[in-house]
Amino acid sequence: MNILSLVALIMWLSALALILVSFKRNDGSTEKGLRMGVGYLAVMAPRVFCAVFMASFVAELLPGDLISNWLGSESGIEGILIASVIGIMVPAGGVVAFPLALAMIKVGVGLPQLTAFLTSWEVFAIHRILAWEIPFLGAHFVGLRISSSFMLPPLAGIFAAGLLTLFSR
Amino acid sequence: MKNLSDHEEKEKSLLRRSFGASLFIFLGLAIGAGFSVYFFKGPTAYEKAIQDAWDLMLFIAPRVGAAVLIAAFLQILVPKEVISRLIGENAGVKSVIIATFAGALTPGGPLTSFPVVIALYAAGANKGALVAYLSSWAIIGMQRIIVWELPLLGPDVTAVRVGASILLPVIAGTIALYLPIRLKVHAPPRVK
Repeated sequence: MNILSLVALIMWLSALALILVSFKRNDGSTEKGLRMGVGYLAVMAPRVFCAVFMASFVAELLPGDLISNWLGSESGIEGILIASVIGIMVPAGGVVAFPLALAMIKVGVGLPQLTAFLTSWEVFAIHRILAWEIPFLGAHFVGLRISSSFMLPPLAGIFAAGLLTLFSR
Repeated sequence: MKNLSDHEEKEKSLLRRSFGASLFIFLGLAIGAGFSVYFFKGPTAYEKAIQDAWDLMLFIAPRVGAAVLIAAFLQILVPKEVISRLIGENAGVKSVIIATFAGALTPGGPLTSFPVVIALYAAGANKGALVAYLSSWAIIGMQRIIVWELPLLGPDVTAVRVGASILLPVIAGTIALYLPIRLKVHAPPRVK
């Protein structure tokens, strides 16, 4: 059995374990959870379908040479910083960011640079700040968070590069 | 009983959102990208892209079922009240670390996490814990990892990315703790 089907197996076992826990509670949470799961699936399935095709098309469209030049694993700290800036500019949720990340892997973006990109999107996703954080928590909180987090994306990229060197030894 | 009907409400709106406007925008983008590949890169590239996409679909399909079940049951089984009490009761770096765990375990989108931040603030959590919680939810949130990252990017990429990011919320939270900025949180709008 390869590592990938092992992941799938672990995921299903975890799902079953959670269902078992809810069943033992015997308070209707099993039914509630299953209903919710089906609801999620109804939302997820058509979007994942679109996402997979979009990732595949975008990978063909991206200027591969240019990107692997700027963001390939050879691009080092500079690539990590560029990827951190690009991450801020993805104004959408996981449904766009992860297919984009997949397309980036396909055209040869390095793993440290990809990590910086994803972290930057996760920390600074502009749509989330505008639609959620400012209305809910106020600009003051956003200021506090940004001033304590702005270095996280490059840091994540550097940590990822460190991990890769550690494991490739 | 009230909670149950809340969930039912959420479910209905989920199903309604299933084929909502965002999906059609997304579908339009995918089709547009497909056309662009066909016209700018030629039919061979187009066919290769379609084949790649199908291969990935077959790879993802068996995982999505498990992913949505894990997401749903985590949301129902993780006791949010206990977590917010734990964070509120502790101080300093300890509260930052607890908040990091809590953020990673908080399932759901912004609709779950932001109200929790407000609840934490009300429960007396310090600014470091609040920043750590939100950063952790955003960077190493289990649900997003399970639902998106693991199926789409695979275990190797996920392991490196999460491994490189696991300390970040603690770093951000600790910095926030010692930054000379006093925390003021808005009166939250009512969420329907």
